[in-house]
Amino acid sequence: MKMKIITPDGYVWDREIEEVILPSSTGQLGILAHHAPLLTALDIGVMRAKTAQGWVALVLFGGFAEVLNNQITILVNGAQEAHEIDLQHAQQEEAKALEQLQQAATPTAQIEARQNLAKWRARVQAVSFQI
Amino acid sequence: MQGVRAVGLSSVRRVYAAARAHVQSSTPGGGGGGGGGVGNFLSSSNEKALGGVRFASLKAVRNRMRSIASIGKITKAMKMVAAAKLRGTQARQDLSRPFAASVRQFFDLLPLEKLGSETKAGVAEPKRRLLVVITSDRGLCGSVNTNVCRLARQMLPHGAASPVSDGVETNIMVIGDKGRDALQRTSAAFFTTTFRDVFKAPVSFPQAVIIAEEILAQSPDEVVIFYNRFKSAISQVPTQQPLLGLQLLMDNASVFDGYEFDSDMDSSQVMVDLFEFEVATQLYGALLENATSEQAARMSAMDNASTNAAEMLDKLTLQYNRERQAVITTELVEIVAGASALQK
Repeated sequence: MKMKIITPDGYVWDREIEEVILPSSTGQLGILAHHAPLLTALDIGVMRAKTAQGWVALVLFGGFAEVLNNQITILVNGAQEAHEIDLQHAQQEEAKALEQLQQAATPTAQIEARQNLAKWRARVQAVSFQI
Repeated sequence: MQGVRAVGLSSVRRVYAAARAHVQSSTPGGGGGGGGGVGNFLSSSNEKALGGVRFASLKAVRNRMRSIASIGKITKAMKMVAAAKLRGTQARQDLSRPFAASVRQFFDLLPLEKLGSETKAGVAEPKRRLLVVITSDRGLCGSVNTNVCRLARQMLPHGAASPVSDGVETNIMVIGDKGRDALQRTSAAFFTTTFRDVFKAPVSFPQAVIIAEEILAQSPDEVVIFYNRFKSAISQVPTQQPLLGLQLLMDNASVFDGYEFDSDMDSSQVMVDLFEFEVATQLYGALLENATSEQAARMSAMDNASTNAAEMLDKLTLQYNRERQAVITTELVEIVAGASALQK
């Protein structure tokens, strides 16, 4: 089935896949070919897709997924492929984000810190999936 | 020596005016260089005792030439900067198109053709109306900001001084310093939120999300975005674009019946999320359009300014040379006259 990942900064992905596991806002959501039409919100998390070359991991930063006519369209705020991520750097940032969350005083700062942490945590996860 | 005193006291502008008047009086003789002309010129300058002024005005013209030349350099540099930025924002805009188109696709399912073009909010009589005016932070970009502000002002209740009029509350949200400055004088009472420094860094989607959240926090019935649509490098069209209303989406939720929703999740929550996403996307598109328009308008404004500066410099150079010639001629005549007086 065809899969498109589109961010405000352009296409990230437009390729053929066999299976995909999406980080939906209620948990992991696996989709195979010829899935029924579906509309779901996506959380910040790791998406894993099975291509002809094997499993590929991507970090998605929240958005929507639509399944229609054997085609998946994913609209997200941002996306990053796992092989672009430097694990060490991501781990450092994750620790920093955790510290920030503990120090966050206001509710807005807490939300921001939590989002930041989720992003870095997802990146770290994506790298470990890739290996 | 009245004239000399005037030069000492007056501003450069007045000196320039004097210089121009002087050049005009000297043009017939100075330019042609004929014998009769010189005599004519000499007598007129003797009468008014303008010898000193001639030097001072020469200096004034030179100063003015210098300042115009540097203004020309600045506008030329600004034009080039605007051109470079235009390329950048245009590239971003091109990249954002598929995203905007895909988000739009969801809403193609809605029966939009049934609604008037004026309002797509799906509310017959909006009670709370929000006008989002997108302008630039910096000036010197032609009339893009003026045009957008004029368009927005037309939407305000005529002659009303307070946001609530005829049971409709109209509020303005201004993005960009120039719009705030322009609308503050006439319509400050309508302001709710103003955003600053949005265009300082390149426009980004997270930024649009923040603004969209602010829009939705005010829970308006109807949202209209005002911005400049980038048609081409020489044409930017001030545009008013109504945003889809959440009500419309909820009323027509049945069009999404073909889709399956996450069983754990409330389908109306997905609708709300989707709506917020749509608002952010539309806003992002409008911000990008306006940023591109601003740079394009600045580019052509600065191009015009550079052309004008070059033209002005040419005129002044001609004037300067004429005056210089005139001064030399006068001095020569004085020397020759002195020498012949001595011979006698």
